[in-house]
Amino acid sequence: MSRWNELTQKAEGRGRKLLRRLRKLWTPTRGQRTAFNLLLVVLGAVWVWGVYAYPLTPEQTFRRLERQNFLEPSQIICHQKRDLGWSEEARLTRSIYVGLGEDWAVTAYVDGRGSYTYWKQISDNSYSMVNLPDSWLNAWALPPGPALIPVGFPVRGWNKDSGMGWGLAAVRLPEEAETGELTLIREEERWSAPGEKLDNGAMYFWCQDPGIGPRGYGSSKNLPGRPYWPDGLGIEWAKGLSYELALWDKNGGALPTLTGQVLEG
Amino acid sequence: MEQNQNPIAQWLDTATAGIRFQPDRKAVKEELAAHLEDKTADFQRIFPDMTREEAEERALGEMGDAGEIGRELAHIHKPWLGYLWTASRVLVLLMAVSLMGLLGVRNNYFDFLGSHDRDYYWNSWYAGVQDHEWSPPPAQEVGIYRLEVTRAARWEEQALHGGEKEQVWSSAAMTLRVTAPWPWERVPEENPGLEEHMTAADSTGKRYSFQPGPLADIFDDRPIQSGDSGLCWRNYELYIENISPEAEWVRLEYDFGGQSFSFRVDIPERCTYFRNMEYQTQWEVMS
Repeated sequence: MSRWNELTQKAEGRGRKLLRRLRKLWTPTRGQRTAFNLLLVVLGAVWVWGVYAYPLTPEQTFRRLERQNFLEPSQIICHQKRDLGWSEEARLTRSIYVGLGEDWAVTAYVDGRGSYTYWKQISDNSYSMVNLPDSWLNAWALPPGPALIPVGFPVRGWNKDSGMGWGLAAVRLPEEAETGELTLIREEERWSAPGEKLDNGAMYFWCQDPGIGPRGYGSSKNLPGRPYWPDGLGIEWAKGLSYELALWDKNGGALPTLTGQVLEG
Repeated sequence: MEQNQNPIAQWLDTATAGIRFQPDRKAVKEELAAHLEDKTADFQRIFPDMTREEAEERALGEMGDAGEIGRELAHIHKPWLGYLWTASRVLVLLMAVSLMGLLGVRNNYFDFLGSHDRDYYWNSWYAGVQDHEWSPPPAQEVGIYRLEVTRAARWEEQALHGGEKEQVWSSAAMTLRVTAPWPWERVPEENPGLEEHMTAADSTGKRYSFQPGPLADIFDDRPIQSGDSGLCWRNYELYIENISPEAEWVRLEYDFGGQSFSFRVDIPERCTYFRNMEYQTQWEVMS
């Protein structure tokens, strides 16, 4: 082998070694590549979570709503979950919470399927398109003593055959109250509803809305999915109405009937 | 089972048998084969009379016992890192497919990053307010959120009736920025907590509410509207109608649900935004 060839081979050998060393230096290790891949996956997952408005469990969503509305955590006294098997029309009835704080109460619905546009009834013949977030919370300042809070979202009745209506929660009732019957009064009209006992001296009432009917949350044939109740009571119907609340203890003994007005906000 | 008769291949199989992660086994085998090839070439170069078979046999002899090397390699090899790497690649692939699928069904792909769609509009409320005219009150922590009033302006407003100036009054506007510690805690566009329970009072004692009127949705005229937002923050644009003309500051107050805050916001002396309202037109819309 000539000297020239020997030197050339040596140089090539050194070049190959240098290239191999550089390749090793610039090629990420398997651990680094794994970490990078996992980082990509986490970022992608957070991205998808964000696109769907960061859904959590219903209770966590309710707690997040409280934080977002600058409220301390309340004591949950009512949680209704009624999946009706309908798609769009029933979405407002998904998960409803009533929470009780020291001198406030909260009512909330939690959906978890992203925001939703609907036509809100402003007056008799006037509607406005509203972009409804997938979760919503109302906070009520409680006066001293018993109070009746409108839940404010259309709620399905107790069984599958009952129609849609409106929930009301009575709080701070006498401890011995076991059952109750609520009567709402609007001039000559009367609505009555039996009560369901909840924790912490609370009761839940449900009044069917005749305008919504047994088929559920009304939607016009011409405008599918548009919640529209030509003869319905409407979301605001119960606010400020007078009520009479008859209560009984566990032996069936009548307790003093409570009267007042449904909270307005 | 077919036996591999090639001694080098047999040696390589035995030496790498303990490596459980298949891609690693293949790579180590290739590396050892290259090393054997180098050694064989060296022997042939040093001893030109040596045949290839002899050189290979000698090279194999110098490599040592395949079983022992195999045990050593199996001991130092960590298969879980290989499995984890493979799993991470599968996850990346699945994530890429999911994201592509998501593109087809959602149209709000970037909304959660924030919105600056109406920047020009909100900024116009405060255009012309000079730094020396206004300084922000200190930020406050409320629950997990950081609240700060980042800008304020005094407006002049006119009600027109049939083009005739009917009434002139002053209003105030300010931006309340709420910053969350995490993106998923960002406050929503509408905040009933603030709308219902935050109040304001100006330096003359006049009090104001932020509760929307019954027609607020029709005229897009809620006293608290969602302004720009980012990944973790949102601006609420507050509008206080008909403040006392001599008011020097407005105090925002919130005390509800176990939380409270208070901001004293100076209102610039100069009116920097002008708006007129055609009540006649609005009434026609309503009726």
